Amino acid sequence: MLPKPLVLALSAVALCGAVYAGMRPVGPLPPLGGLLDPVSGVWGAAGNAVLPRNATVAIPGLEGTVDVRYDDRGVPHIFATTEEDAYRALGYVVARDRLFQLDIQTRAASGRLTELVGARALELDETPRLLGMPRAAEQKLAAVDPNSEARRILDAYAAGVNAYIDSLKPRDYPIEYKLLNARPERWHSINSIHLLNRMGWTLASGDPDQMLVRAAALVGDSAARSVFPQHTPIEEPIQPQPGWTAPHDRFETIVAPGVPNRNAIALSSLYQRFRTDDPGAESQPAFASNNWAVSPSRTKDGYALLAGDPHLELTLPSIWYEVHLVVPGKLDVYGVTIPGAPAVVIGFNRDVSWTFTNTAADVMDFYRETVDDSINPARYMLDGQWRPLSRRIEQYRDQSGRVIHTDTVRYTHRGPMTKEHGHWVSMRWTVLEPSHELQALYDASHARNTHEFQDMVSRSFLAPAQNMLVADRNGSIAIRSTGHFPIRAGDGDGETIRDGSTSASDWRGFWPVDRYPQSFDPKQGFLASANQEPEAPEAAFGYLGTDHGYEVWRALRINQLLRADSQVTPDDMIRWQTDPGSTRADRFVPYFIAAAKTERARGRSNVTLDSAATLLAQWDRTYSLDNQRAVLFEAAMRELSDRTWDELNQNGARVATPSTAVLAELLTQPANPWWDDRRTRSVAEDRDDILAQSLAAAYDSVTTKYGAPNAGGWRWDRIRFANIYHLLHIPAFSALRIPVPGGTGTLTPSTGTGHYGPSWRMVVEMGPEVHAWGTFPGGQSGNPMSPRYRDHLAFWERGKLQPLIFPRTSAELPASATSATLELRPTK
Amino acid sequence: MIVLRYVARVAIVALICALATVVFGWMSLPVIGFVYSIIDRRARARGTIAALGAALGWLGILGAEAARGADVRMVAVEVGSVMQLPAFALVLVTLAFAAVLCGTAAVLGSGLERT
Repeated sequence: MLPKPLVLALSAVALCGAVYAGMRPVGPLPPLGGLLDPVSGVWGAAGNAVLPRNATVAIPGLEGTVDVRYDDRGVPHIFATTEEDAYRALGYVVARDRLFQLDIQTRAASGRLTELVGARALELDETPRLLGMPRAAEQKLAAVDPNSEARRILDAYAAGVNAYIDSLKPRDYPIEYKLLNARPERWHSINSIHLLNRMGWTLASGDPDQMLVRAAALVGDSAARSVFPQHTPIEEPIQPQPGWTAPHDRFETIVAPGVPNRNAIALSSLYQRFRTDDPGAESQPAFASNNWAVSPSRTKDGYALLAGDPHLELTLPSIWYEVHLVVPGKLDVYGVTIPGAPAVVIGFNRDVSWTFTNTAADVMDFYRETVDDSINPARYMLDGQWRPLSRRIEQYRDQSGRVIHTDTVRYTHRGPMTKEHGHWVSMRWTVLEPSHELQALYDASHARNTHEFQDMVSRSFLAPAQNMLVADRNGSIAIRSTGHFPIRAGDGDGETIRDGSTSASDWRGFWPVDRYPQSFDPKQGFLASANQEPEAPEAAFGYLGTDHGYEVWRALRINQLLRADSQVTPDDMIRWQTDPGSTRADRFVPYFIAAAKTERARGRSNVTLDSAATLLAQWDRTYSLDNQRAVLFEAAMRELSDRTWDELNQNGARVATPSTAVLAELLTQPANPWWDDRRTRSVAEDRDDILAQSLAAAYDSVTTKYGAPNAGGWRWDRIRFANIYHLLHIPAFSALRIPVPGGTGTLTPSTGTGHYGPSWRMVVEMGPEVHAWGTFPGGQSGNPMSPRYRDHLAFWERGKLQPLIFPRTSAELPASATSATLELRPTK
Repeated sequence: MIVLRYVARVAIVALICALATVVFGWMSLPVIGFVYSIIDRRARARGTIAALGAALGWLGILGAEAARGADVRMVAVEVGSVMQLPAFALVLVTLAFAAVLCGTAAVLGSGLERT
């Protein structure tokens, strides 16, 4: 037995310790009291995991009762009497399912993550603020007409979110708040604008200057422009070219590497902050969306068909939330919304269905400014006169509200200005300029035919530019690349840093809508976009972007499939979304095999090369899960890229990588000096040398890593995975190492990290009654404990779509398909 | 008889701890432990009774949640894995936390009462 005083002392210490740990964070742990409390702590997440079967809630501001019926997939069907009520209810139900996501996404978009997680998020927060995104959101909100539908809906949505937040007790907070020892903050209408700006950053922040300038710094201007051309050398544009029945190779002689351009070396450092692309990547992973539509003349049932397949960052919960809004006589729209945005972004109503892919236009330009003080400038030079810089102080706060960092962001008339390697560089970017995307999406949900859709949307949707595909019930299909495309001074392209001291460098305006890349009911009977170049060079109004921003292989494949089938069914559309075929492989494999034969004829063959060529010849050029040869091809392509573009290495790392379309172009020039591997100074390699070396090296590396070819280790489902992380990157709340079909350049591309992929697959048949199918990688609930957190994932993995229920009235939704109801009543 | 009295005391403390946690939260446990030790002067091992009662009270809340259909096991698995603990360990940590809060307060209460 311990002496009594000692027992008392130990008890006092233990009690103090427990109370302290209960109230204060210890190390990485949040306060244990709030965390472990069986009522209000993490255990409460289990109680909130399933929506109550029937609930009635009074919320302020409603004009009438709103009937919300959740179907058996957890999709809320909102039946309201006014549109404002419908969007107020939308805010409420989205917050009910995805509150933490609403909050963290908005904080990320507005540079306020430090307020949730502290100083460790400072660098993440600086990016949007130094890019001027919070200021742009304020300006956009101020530009919204207070009497417009968009503004009323924006405010109604915010009120709906807040009605839910106000109803919460700490025990009801999503589990992430408990783990972070935080609480949700009230929602503001501007948050929706922040989110749309964030989407602009994701989709329209690519600027092709960087790759070109980096390449020029190593191989000179001519060679750099040759391997980073404006127009893609393999053409299958979105806007069909009259008379084309196949893709066009527009190959030119690629200029040999030359003398480095010293000016480019200095310029390349100015881009440091503005680009997130991986210079070693073959294509940009975020830009991998597909959409296509088929006219009734080419469908089995004689109705227009539309497929949508936007590829974005994969997260849990998903970026999308499915919803159906009904206001009799005014609105009847189904689709996916981004939690936080009061709009159906991609979806359908009774008359039209629509979807987007990213246009990848160059809408971001840089200007080298002349300032009055290189350390603390107050003015900048324009046309020989000093002009004042406007300033904005950006304060970063921690969880307690304490200011932990301050930035001063200066603005010229073009946009934000930052100092990069001793030079002040300003930026103009369409995403920062006043626009009305919410109005456009509101209009889209009311459109009655393809022409009306495109006209309405083009009026207000300015950034990020999207290839907007639409099909209607009358059998019409149409596509238009919609957004503000700058008209530039001089040569018209956006591939240089311009002189900021003259207004002659400024944009001259924007493309007229009638010159946007577009097509209505083309003769070929189908339309397809997959982030490829929107129109052929001879049809273009001006400079839109460059080959490096585009991707051609998926477009080739979907056009190939569409041309081959004149009796298309919805099942075909669904199957094609996970088609494992690869036009990239079709283009390159024959060259590898031929190179192996050439080397044999030259007497330079060996067992490794022969084995590799034999295995590659056995490949059916698909990336299905059980395929055992795709891995060899992918390794060979990596080796080929490394060996071919060695001239673009600096300090052992690639600083710019031309597209594979350019590499395909180079294949037709067997003696081009680019083939020479500079590392072997005594030998001048040609194409077949490099192809053969690449294939043999690939065989060695694959056998070393995955074992013998037929031992099972080469199966694609053991090599490529989707990795869908929770928003806080908590592994337990994530879905990792999900085997997925597809490889680089297939319709469902997987790039290796598995962080990007198909975010919402949808197929719609626009018959007398609309039939639709869809799924996304996750589920409707944001609560990791909910059975609806990841219940769609099994469908998504297998490439299956679920039928979407589209009732006109609540009575049409069968009881057997109703999982829960929620009645929202006005407060008395 | 002694055992029964002991069990009854634990059950009463458990009930009070559960109700107090629902109404006032986890901070009520030290108060309950302290007050209990002063009220129940005749009992031996008041610290143990309070500790067991608090743990049992919280276990009861978790059991009630599970009985209402809440997937408590999933929380144990998922949150346990966030904290790099096996599922059962998260339950044990939770119950131990309650026991320490209530039990140590009871020991202190009984000690102060003697002085």
